[in-house]
Amino acid sequence: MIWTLAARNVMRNRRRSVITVLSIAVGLAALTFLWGFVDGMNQQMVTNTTRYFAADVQVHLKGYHDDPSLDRAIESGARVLDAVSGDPAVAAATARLESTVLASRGDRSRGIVAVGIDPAREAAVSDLFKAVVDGRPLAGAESTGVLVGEAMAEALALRAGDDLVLVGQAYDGSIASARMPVRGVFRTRIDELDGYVAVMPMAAMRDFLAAPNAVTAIAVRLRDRAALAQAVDGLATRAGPDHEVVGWPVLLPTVAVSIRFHEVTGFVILAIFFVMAAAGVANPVLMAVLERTREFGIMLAVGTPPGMLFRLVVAETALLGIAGLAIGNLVGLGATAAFGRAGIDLGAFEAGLRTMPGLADVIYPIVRAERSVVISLLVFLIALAMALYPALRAARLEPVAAIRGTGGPAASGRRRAHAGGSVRWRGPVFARIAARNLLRNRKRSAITAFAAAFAIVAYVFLYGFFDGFGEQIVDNSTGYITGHLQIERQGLRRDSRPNWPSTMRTRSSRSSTRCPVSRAQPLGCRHRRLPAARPSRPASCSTASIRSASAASRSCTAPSSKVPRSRPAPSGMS
Amino acid sequence: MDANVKPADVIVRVEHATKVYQRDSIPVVALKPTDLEIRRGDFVALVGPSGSGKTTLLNLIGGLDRPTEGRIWIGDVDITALDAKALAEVRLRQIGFVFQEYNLVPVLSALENVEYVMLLQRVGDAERRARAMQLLAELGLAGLEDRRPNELSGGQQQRVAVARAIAARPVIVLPDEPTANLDSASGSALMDMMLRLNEEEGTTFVFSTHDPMVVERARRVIRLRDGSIESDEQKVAR
Repeated sequence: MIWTLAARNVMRNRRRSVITVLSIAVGLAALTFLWGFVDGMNQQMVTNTTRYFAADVQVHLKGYHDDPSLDRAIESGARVLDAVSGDPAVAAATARLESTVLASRGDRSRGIVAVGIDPAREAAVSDLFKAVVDGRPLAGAESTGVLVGEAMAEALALRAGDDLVLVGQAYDGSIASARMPVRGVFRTRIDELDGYVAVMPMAAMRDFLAAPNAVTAIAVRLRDRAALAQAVDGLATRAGPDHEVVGWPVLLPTVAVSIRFHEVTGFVILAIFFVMAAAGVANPVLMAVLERTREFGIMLAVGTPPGMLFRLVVAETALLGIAGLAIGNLVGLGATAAFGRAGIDLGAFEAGLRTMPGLADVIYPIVRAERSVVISLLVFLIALAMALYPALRAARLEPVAAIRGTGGPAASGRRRAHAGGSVRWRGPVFARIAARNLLRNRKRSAITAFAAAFAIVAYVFLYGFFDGFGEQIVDNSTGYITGHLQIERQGLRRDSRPNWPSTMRTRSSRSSTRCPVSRAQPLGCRHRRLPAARPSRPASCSTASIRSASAASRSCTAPSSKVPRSRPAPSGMS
Repeated sequence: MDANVKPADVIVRVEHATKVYQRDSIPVVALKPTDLEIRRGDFVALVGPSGSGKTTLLNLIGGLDRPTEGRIWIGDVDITALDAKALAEVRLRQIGFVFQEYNLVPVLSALENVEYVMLLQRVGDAERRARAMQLLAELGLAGLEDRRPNELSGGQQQRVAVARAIAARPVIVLPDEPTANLDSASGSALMDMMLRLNEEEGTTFVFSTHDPMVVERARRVIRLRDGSIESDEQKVAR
């Protein structure tokens, strides 16, 4: 009976019910789409950054992640690789050998990370070879040459077929150098990969570093990236206590921070929406109860238990909420799914997108059922919570006062307001009427005023939040080393870090950073043209070492006995 | 108290009941200390000018309001000692109300309005439906069962309200100025119908009214003035 009555009461004032339902539905749909967009963006960042090279998990010798050095190479790489590959959570695994080196061609040079890989196994772990846009990828153990990122190729004026000179520190501490043909150029649209990574067959890398059995990382692709924590635990057990197992959030801290930021922003917007939805439900429900005071009085008089009136009001709100959820989810999930197929082209905001590693121009929102269920449940509970006061008010009505239409518990206050007794101000008559009407139902007016005030506060807060975020990035980024202004030689910026996006066809003939290493033959180094790669063992690479290379490139100093491997001070958000 | 009346025949007993309202912190005496007995099968009119206390007395008898002092018994139950839930149960089982206006639940049809109280009493579907249909037919509302209150005339709505009031087989029915908003023909028909229910089914009625036509048909007339019973006249010997 309660549900029949509730349904009919909801249909009684259709316009108001439609407005209430729409206030829930529109907000929910917008929120669902927003979360789908954020999830799509986050997933794209993680997928692209992990699939191109970093992988889901890496296994190192303990301490390597914090201090990537050949001194922390895994001696028994094959055994660890076998142990890791045997884990049921692992889809594929490969070994890598990586080291920061100085890459040069002609009078141009930059610090990079050179990585030795097993091409066959690497293809199962990462998609780097699919990103080759010039030349050919490494196809098998017999492949020769080196793959370089597009931005590095541009900075060093390289293209497939050119020679690249690498100089670094060998495993035995001596200076290593080699001249290698560029086999191909890849474009991942991840600045750190495109600008600072060179990939070669494992045998060539081991030969270059004079490290015949060394492996610095086992890169792992998981069957289910969502089960990362369990996989890390399982792999740690298999790898043994001398090794560290590092998941992608640690390997790719920039990505993890970006995702966290997106989520925090999402939660802030979610909270704002919840308050707006609460106000959107509270007002009409309270209104519906107030205008039915006499009817409730009659129902109480004929024996309706007060608890039933309470349940009736809650049921009416539940129906409005369910309708709002149904429409909101239908529209929100439908739009998310549709754009998930078609994608949203944000190419016009390319400069902004570049700040988030792994993000492509086209974002594909994704539908996550569990997210929708949680949001829907919360919205529903908030709607019900907003019905509690009106429902309680209905249940606590005194029948006689209610039948008189004076409303029971609030009767005295309302009578005063009706009489205008509490408003003594004598302004223009219409202003007085308006003021007294506002005071007629103080709670409803308070809800409306609160909703309006909250919307303004939320608006100001959101703007402040994003302004603060941007300001903090600038402050922290400029505070460490960059400063607010730099006076540089013309073209230095382009040479040290090419503008995005660059293409192989837009090379500049302007002079680049001159570095004595690239021209002077260091004493005691083994500088030779490497032959075709021998069958090799796998190798690995993390962004930590890529950053080292990037820092080394920017400083571009004459080589000391060691190529710098330490990581620069972090910048950006603290 | 009438010595010839058996205690079992008394269905309502008002013992020294008073009602004082607070209006803007000023006490207003609506009913001075009052004693009254209503007997089974009575057809009573409470009459008096506005503010005389007749509606207050009716509300107190019906458990819609609580006396400031004194007690009110419905059968063996002191309803002044009950909480809101128990009082609602007494109203549901023992008392039927007919108000001056806004009597019906607007989203329910005539038939559903009559069924409503029986539904609260958990009367079975078939029995409930049959009794509601029968009552509506007896009150001349056959064919109007599916109409909503806004599709019925004032007289028809009042008849539906009477049907709802008696459908639950209450001990007493309390119509509060039932003819006030009806034309004379409708009011007269409504009174005829209630009188017939009183005579044929023994249903007890206590009205509050200004209407001379109602007073004329009542068998007992209690006159109130300034919150006190001025006279209690039994017009027809039982």
